[in-house]
Amino acid sequence: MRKAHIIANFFWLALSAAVCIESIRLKIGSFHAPGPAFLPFFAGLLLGILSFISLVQSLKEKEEEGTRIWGEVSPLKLILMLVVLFLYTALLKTMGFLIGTFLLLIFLFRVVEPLRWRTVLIASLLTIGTAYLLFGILLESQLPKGILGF
Amino acid sequence: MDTLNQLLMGFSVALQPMNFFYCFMGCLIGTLVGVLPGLGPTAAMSLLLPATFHVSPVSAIIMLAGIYYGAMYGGSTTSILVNIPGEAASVVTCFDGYQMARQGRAGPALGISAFGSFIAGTLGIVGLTLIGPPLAGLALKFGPPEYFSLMCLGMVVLTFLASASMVRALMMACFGIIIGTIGTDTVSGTTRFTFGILELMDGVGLVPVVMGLFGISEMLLNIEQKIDRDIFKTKVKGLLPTLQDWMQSKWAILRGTVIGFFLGILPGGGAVLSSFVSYAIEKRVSKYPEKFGTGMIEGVAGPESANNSAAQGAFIPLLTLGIPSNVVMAMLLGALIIHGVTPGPLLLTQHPQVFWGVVASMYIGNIMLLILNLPLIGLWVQVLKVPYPFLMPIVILFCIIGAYTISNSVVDVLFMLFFGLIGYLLKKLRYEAAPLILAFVLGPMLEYHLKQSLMISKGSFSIFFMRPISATCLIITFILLSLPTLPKFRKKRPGVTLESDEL
Repeated sequence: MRKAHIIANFFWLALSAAVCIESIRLKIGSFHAPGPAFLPFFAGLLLGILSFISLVQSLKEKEEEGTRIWGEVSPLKLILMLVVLFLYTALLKTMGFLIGTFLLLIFLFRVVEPLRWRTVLIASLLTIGTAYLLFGILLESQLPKGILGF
Repeated sequence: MDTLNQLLMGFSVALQPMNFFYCFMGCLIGTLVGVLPGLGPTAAMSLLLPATFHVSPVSAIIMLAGIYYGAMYGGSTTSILVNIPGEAASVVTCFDGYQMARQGRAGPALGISAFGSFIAGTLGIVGLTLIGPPLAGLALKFGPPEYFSLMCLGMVVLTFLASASMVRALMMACFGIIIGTIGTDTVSGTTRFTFGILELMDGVGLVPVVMGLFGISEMLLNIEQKIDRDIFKTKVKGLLPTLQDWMQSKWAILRGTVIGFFLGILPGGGAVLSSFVSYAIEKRVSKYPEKFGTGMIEGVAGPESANNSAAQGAFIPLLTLGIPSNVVMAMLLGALIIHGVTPGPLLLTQHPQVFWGVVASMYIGNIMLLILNLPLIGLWVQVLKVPYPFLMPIVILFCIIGAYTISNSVVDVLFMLFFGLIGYLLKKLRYEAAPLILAFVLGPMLEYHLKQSLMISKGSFSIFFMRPISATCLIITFILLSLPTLPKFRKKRPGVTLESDEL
């Protein structure tokens, strides 16, 4: 956890620097005539100061036993889930809500605990049907139709 | 008398069939969300926020408010029966509630929790009714320096109380302010931090941010951690507390009501803090403090009353000053703004039906919740048995639909997923999301009032210290900021006000 905190603090320092530099470009203005980047600049500056303090605290802290960021857990399932979710979002308008979401649900019902395929298919059909009834028909939400028209 | 007339007008609004229906839906969903661990009122409100876009502001806020105080009721059920808090404000109820269930007294625990919540909630609403209008009148005297200072105080109090590391909580607040500035500056028309991305011209929306930080991140975390639920198997009977239970609990309920109400009003306070403080006080005043944690009914009655009364008290600064006292109120503020209603001292004069309609709906909602929570206990126990592998995909689907339907754009879904990843990493690294959200919502107003103040004073910061209310707020802010540097406070404190749904 100590190592993770140190890396995180460097990230915050980098973010702070980026915000301050961009704010200078956008114009900070003055105290009697604050510009558009007045608040972001000072927020970024404060973030940088606090990140530095946090970094010093992290360097001083001892590594706690058994507190690695992922510990015994493998992050592969998580990474797979994120990849699938981003892919689904990117292809949503092409596939359409019904087909795309049905496929997504099949994946989601299998990813947490591998349920039986029959259970997965029934659960996915019921869920997509209910969601479409509720959002698409009752609430008249404009859910995307894919290239197949539904 | 005028207050009574206004309240009657509020009832005429709240009892309209559509508003009554939304109140019921809010209470039902709130109870359900409170019962289910892993999904708290903030995530539920963020999921349902897009669904409120098609209804009137009154109906929207009635439902969203119902989710919040409804979750306070529902959270106790799973705390008592499963020893897993349904939401953060019910953590304390686990200590004695579950022990009472193990002793065969689940019924009285659930009963006193529901009745205590009802009494405290009702008294809290009475407080809101009486204190709200005079406070709104006082707030008319507030100028930009007072608003700026009060918002700073609110953010600092939340960071002071909400986290073991105040430095990290303040970092989150700064990050929230920065995210809040993305988009077009309304004064100069300059685009800030958009990097040419068209969809960022209007800034990052509240809904994708909260759904990502609270909803998606929780689902990502739960993929790693299996939530084992060992539901207490004995049949729950005897929900009505006995006379002895009432005698033991009556002062705990009253103390919890007062503590919760005033802590709910304070910026940075809220239901979670109130429940912990109430438990600590009950233990301190009890003749048998050593028995707390073994099934003392006061340990259930006090905190459950406190969290409900805090939920009502928290509406006061939001509706009268337009300043949210915690992250849930920040969400409601965002919802009101989306609906074109600006909460604050002028709300009572410009939109009295919103203020009084919401207040009146809370009276009705509390009665609904008492009915929902006692006779339907068996139903909630069945809900608790829904396996998580079925629940998680449904929640993710709701998040995706909710984000998409804001403006029929996949970009909002992408933002939500992005913030989901950020929220996941923040939780793994033990950063609090609550200060981030509060700062994100308050940021634009903070900026506006800061600029106005500096323009009035021609660049001098003394304006903040020459006005009494502003000076008082800033002095308290500086005291809170310097407390952690003192040796006594330097030892890490366990976080107590997790307004995120982190358990």
